[in-house]
Amino acid sequence: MTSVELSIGGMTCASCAARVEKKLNKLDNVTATVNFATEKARVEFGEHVTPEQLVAAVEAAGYQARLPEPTPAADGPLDDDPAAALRQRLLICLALSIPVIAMAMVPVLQFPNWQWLSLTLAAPVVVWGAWPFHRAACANLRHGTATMDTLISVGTLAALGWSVYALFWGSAGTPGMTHAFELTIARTDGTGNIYLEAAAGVTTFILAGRYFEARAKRRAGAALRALLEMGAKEVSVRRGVVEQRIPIEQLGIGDEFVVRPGEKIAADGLVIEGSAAIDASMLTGESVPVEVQPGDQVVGATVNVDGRLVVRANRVGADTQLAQMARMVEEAQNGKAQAQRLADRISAVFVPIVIALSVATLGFWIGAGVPTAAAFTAAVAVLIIACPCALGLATPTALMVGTGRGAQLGILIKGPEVLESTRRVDTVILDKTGTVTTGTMTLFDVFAVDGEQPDEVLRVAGALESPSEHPIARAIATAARDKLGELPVADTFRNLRGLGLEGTVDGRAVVLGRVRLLADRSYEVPDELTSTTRRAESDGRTVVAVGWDGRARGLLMVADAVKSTSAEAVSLLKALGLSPIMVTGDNEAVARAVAAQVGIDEVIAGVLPQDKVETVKRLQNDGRVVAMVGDGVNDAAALAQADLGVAMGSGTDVAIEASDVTIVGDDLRAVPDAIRLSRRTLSTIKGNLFWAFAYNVAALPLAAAGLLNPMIAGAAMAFSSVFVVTNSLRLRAFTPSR
Amino acid sequence: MPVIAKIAAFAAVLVAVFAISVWAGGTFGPNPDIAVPHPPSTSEHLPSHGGAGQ
Repeated sequence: MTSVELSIGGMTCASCAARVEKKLNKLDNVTATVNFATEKARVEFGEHVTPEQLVAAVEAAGYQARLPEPTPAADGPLDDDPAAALRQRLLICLALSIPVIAMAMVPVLQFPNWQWLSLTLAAPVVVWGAWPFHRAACANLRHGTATMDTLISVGTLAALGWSVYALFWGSAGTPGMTHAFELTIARTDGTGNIYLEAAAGVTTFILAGRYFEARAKRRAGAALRALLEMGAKEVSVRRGVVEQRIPIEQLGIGDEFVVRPGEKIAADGLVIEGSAAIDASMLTGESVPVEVQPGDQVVGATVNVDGRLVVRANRVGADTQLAQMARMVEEAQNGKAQAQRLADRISAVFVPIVIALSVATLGFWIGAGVPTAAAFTAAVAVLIIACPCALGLATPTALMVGTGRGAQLGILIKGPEVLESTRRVDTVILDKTGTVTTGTMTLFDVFAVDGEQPDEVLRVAGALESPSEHPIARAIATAARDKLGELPVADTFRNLRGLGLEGTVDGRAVVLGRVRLLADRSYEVPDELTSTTRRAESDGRTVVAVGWDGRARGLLMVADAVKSTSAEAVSLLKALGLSPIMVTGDNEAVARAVAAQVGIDEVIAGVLPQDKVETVKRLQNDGRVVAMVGDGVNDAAALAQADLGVAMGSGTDVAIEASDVTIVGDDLRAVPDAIRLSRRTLSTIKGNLFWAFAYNVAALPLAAAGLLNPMIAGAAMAFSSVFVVTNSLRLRAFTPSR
Repeated sequence: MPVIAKIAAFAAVLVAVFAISVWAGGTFGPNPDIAVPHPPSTSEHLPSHGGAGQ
């Protein structure tokens, strides 16, 4: 099987993506998945199928398909701006529409034959500017559906068509014709009226809306790039006795490579020489580095904190865990169901009703015996007035104000589809490390045995830990320095790999590490020390014992500190009716202790990245709508899989790219605010859509009665637009709970 | 439902709506004589050059 990624054009909603997917899958030996958000189709196909056949199949369904172009240079621009073409179209339409609307609405501008200039300016707007809507409407028609595009296409073409008829065959083309500035209701045959400003205005407004949406559209693929860039670029391979620096692509299975302190491990493999602490937080989320020695497995892209390692590669390239993780993120993004736009859902019902109403109007007036021209006037007026100008503004204005207010509060919302999710979210999964906790080790407590002072224990331990780069050592040394000032210098210092440290401080032989290390060295360990250790470990603390001169003297309790705002954030989430669940790669005891501190009842501990995705999927299969809050690379796939992915801005680029909402900073209280703001924005969008339709629906009876005139159409358009914009601006008053 | 059938069904509904509307217009519609006054009330014609004030 060969696979190819096609770029699909012309899709307007999630059902278009489903149609393209169905069409491709109908071909023999073809498996395709289509993503509406990224406008990409991932297709696997057998020998007897050519990529050209795939393109032809997509085109037969009424959409455009493009084969991937050769990869651009690494430093070159990676994407065209998807909104650039739309911006150009919008600007041209705007320049043409402004004079059309001005002439129609301001009687003083209506010079003799102004209507012909109006036609000249409006025709390209309706035909060329609205071309994407007409094309989408045709595609929808072929599939027997109607969307917002259908409504726009029908409305603008009806307005333009009627205006052309009125100008050429009616009385509207007469030199000196003006639109009187009156809102009085009177029945006419309509051939003296033109609706070019409605046609041009609607097109431009809707294009503006589409442009703002396109700008906000998720840039998928960025997460993958960020993820793949995390891997090492070069590797020092050992060939015989010589070390050779080669690009990572040339590394083969079985090659032995050297990893120095601070370097990333190039590929998954087996340690054959040396020992070191490995920062695997990327994979496991655990903040404490893992000690490895010969015989241990290591994973590519994790960081060697200290020590020199020689590793034999056993998985390279696409087989590494990093590449698998990238695939998981991609699959989660591709598999994410895209909510159909609210306006499309309304239009699917509204359009057939409007067409039926138009036909009914025509029939009624013909039946009543009025001239056919007057009957047509009323029927076409129904179509013209049914297309609300504010429809195109309803979503983007609320989104712009909502996201703008969000940005002020440090909440970055990626697109409108996110808002659909927030309404229904009932479960929030919180990653522990870096989300609920600070992600850095902090000294919590110092315990001294009888006859010893805690400060002395801390001073000696701090002095011995000072030269070490290990996170636990840094936490102890920093705390000691902060509390006691300058520390003595350790005269000798030896790292007991994976066990602890030993050295001489102030002439005393000091051993520091696990309690068992001290016991193994035949140090006297008082019972109170053993029981305190057990208690502290059950509370999720990492315990470091310190002893000198043959006796254990005290304990230092270190842990990943819970953020001061986490407990309040959890209670705010609960107040929003959400059930918080904490997931972590850490052990159960640590997880439970942290969860208890912040008020989370449900904990899923010891999970690997793939388990995080599975947890999200399992909850989704149980009918829950899940928001995931995380910060690490290991959270990326789960963030993409969740109905709403929230990344902490202090986290990795990968997590930020895979998420729907990014919280700038590390205050977890921004998460409930983000959900509240999103819900408010969504309810504003709904209100906007209601009023966008309401003004026009209110004008429908006038149109059906043959009483519509351009001023009433314009007034409905203006009032609904002003209302929609004003309603959206109310979002600026959103107050955070912080 | 196949697309063709869907569109055909909708077209049939439109035909039915039209027929009912014609009947309704004939039965309950206003008197056609008062339905369409002329000329159009929302348009007016400017006086020709030099005609103003005459």
